[in-house]
Parts: sequence; C-alpha cells; structure tokens
Amino acid sequence: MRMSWWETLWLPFIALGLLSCQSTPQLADAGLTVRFLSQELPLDPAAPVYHQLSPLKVSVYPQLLIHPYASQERPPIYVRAAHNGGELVFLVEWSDDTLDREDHQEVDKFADACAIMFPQGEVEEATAAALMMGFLKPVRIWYWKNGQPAQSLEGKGPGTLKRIPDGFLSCKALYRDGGWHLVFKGAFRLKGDHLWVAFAVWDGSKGERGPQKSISNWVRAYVE
Amino acid sequence: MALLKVRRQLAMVIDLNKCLGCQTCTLACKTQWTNRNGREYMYWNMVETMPGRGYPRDWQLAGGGFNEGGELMTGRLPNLASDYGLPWEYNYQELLRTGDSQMFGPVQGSNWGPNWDEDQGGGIYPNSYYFYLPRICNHCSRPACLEACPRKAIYKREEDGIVLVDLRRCRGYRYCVESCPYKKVFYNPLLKKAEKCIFCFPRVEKGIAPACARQCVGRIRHVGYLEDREGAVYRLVHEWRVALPLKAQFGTGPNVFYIPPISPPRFLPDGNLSEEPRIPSDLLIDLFGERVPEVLALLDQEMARKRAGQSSELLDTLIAYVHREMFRI
Repeated sequence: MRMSWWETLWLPFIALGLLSCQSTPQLADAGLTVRFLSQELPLDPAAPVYHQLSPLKVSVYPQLLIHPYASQERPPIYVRAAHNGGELVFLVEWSDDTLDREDHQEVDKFADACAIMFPQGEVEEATAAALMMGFLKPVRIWYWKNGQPAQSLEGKGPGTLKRIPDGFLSCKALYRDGGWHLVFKGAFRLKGDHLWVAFAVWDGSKGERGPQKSISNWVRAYVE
Repeated sequence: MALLKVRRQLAMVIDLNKCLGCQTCTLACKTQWTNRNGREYMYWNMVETMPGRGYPRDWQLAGGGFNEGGELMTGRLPNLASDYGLPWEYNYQELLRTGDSQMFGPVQGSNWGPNWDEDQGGGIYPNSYYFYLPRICNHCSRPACLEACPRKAIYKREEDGIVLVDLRRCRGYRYCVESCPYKKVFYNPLLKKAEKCIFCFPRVEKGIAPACARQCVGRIRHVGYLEDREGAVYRLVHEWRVALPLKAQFGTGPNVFYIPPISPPRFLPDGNLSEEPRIPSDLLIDLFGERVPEVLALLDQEMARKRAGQSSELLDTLIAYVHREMFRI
C-alpha cells in the first residue's frame, strides 16, 4: 500500500524538521581522506594501489522520506578515495548476496546499483541538500547500474533527476566474495580543501529501484 | 488525489455483442506500434476470451488500483516468460530440410501467450459459453500509473484526457506497471522505459480514429468525447446508460466502456430452454458492475422492438450502419 494524500501532508513538516536539526552537515562515521596519488588512476577495483588506502566505513539507512520507501536494513559500505590532480576516484565496496542485473529477456528484474552525490555550489549548502537528491539545492550524482555505463545526473529534489553529458565519468564494477567492488572515476574539480559526498546503494534482488534504496549521511572528504 | 480535471475526455465504447474475436484490432495496433524495439511481447490492444485468465496471465488478480479508502495499492509485476509468454519458432528446418524431426511443432514450448486460453471458455455442454473482451489502456480519470510514478513521468493530456508516458522522464522504475490494475502498462526491456497504449494520439490529432477502432471489421468500437452530447459515445454512456466500465471497483475511473454481452438461454436437463442466460450474471457483474441485468434487459427490450418492426435508435447506433459516424474526434 502506498502513501495516502493525508499522509503526504506531513512530508513538508518532516523535511523542515530534519533541516532544522541540521545546523551543520550530518557527518557519517568519520571523515574520508582523498589521497593524492602521483600516477594514473586505474579503473580496476582490484588494483593494488587502492588497497593501500584506508577504507572508511559508512553507514547506510533505508530511505524513508519519499514514497515508495526502502524496507531493508543493510550493512555499511566501505569507501576509499584518491585523486591525481586531474582525476577523482572512489572505490565503493558493499556486501550483496546476489549479483543482479536487468537483461533483455526479463521485465520484472532489477539491477544492483550505486550512486555518489555531490552538492553543487558552496559547501554550506550541503546542509540544505542533505535530503534525497538535494531537497532544496541542486546536486550532481554519479550513478552506476549493473550492466550499464556510468551516468552523470543532476537533480534538485525527488523526481528531478536529469542526465547530463560528462565525458570524464567512467566506472568499473567487480562482483567477488559476496559483494560489489566499484570504481567511479571522474574529473577532479575542487574549490577548497574538502568536498562533501553521500552514497546510495540499491539491491536489485529486493526489488529496489528509484526511491527504494539505502542512503548515507553526508561525508566530509578531506583532499590531500 | 481525486479525478484529474481535463477539458474533455476522449472515450471508447466497445460492443461485446458484435466482437468476432478476429484480432484484427490486435494486429492493427501491433503493426502500427509494437512490432519492434523491445515491444514485441506487448499487446497494447488484445482480445481476450472470457472467462479466461487473460493477458498478462491473471491480470485481474495482480493488484494495483485504489482500495475503498482511495489509497493507491501496489500490485505484482508480471513475469515475461510465465505471464506474458515468450514467442517461439517452429521446427520447419528440422521437418522440411534436415529430416531430424517427423512431427511439426514448436522448437521450444511456451506456457502462456496472448489469448492463450481461447479454446476453453466456461460452462459444461450444452451450456458452455464464452465471449470476447477486447482491452486497451482505459485512459483513466484517476490513473493509478500516474499516481504511482515518483518521477511524474506519466501525464494526462488536458485537451483530450489521453494518458501518456513521457519517455524523457521515465527511468524504468515500473511502479506504473505494478499499480495499473489492468496491467496495460508494459516495460520495454530494451529501452528500459515504460510504454503503453497512446490511444493513437498522432492519428487522433489528424481526426483519424485509433487503429484498433478504425480497422475493426465488426464495427464494434465507437470513439468520441464523453462531453459531446451529439455523439454516440455520450448517448451510450450517459443517455441510454448501456455502456459500462470494466472493473470499476479498481477505482481508477476507466474511460473505455463496454456493452455487456447477451447470451442464449441455458438448456434445462430435459432439453428445454430456461429463462436463465448462459453467461452467469455473477461473471458479468464482476466485470461490468451491478447494472448489468438492467442493461441486458434494456437491450432485450430494444431487440424486441426491432423484431416487431418498430424503430430503435439505440440498436441503430449499435449496428453502426455508417462507419464514419462511429468516430467523432
């Protein structure tokens, strides 16, 4: 059963309540360090260079603000990050019992997916954009769905995602040992000494797609 | 959300007493819209044999629509192989060329397909019965597909009430497929978008009736605006009140209406005819609502007038002597 009209009346109050509680961006478990590596950054999630970096454990929670909700509690994800002055890379790893993808012979299957969200504009605006896909402020999203190329998206609140051309974005995923190991690589554009990122993962076998996903709080990523 | 306001609503009235089950409408639609690019399995228009499980299989039990409290209900996503059915090839090569087979038949079996249960019907001889039920998207006044989409990718045109998917906005989430109680929204696995009957809007915009209606050899489909008081659609739905929506209990306000089927009387055990119609009233009431007996009585009455040499404007309209008068677009 979906949300009735009178339930939706509460949404603005919930959103305002959440925003008012967030005088500073809600941090995930700890900060992430984006290591400087003076080399070309490989797309391969198994590349040894990434496994010399310390991973950050990031908790993710079922999305419960916008219908349809996610209902699955899931374990944390692990994130490593690096840049070389021109490219920015994230290695995102999470456990998932099943490898799920959509194919041309199925209409009722959903793919595993992952996304990284960046606020657009000044850092302070991360607070206002902390809800799904930037409730009030625009965000940029790197999106991967198993079986498809990486997508660069823009959005400002639920239902507003729009693909934008991004010739720099690429990704490579590896399913191994009961989990996903995914490298996103995109252009490194930084103002200041840190950036904000948030993560989302979808489990296709649970029917997760669209708003049905697990999301993290904002993570402050310090750049070397 | 209440009924969506539109300036006027295009609607269709389908006379089940005249449907031949020939599937000309199905082919007209298929060749126009769904024979390519991931739509091969889709039938935006399809004639089902009733009683039957329909297409996709058991769509009536798959959920969706609104409950009595007006809340949107999530339904079940059909499976391509088991609920829609996969197309198959025949063993022409093995039978005619290589000699590897002595018996003609499909190379691979299939368990379901469009109008799969055509030969079954209901009842026991000599009281067996069936009728045909052509189905398209109902272009509902309160479309469950539209309310289910978190992307707002489905919209209802203000100028004619046609419900369309904006493919630029659709990201293939399929909440619309789940929520349509008629299962008339389909997922295109190649394009990864939802697609559905578009009421042939490019034709309608040129004043041409939808392909399923225009090509119908039985002249069973009237097309027009529900507000057009001079049109057959208005008169059949609002004036004579003989055209009824399908499964109105789903709560979506469908805008395709049906003249319910008359059936011959049941045989009694002694071989004489009873007063009871062969198609059970319960089945028709479940499909078309409580007014079915009243409508069937009116149709009987009008047919009696015709038989007695009197005039019947209602029957003349349903007979559709002049094809072009069936469409007021």
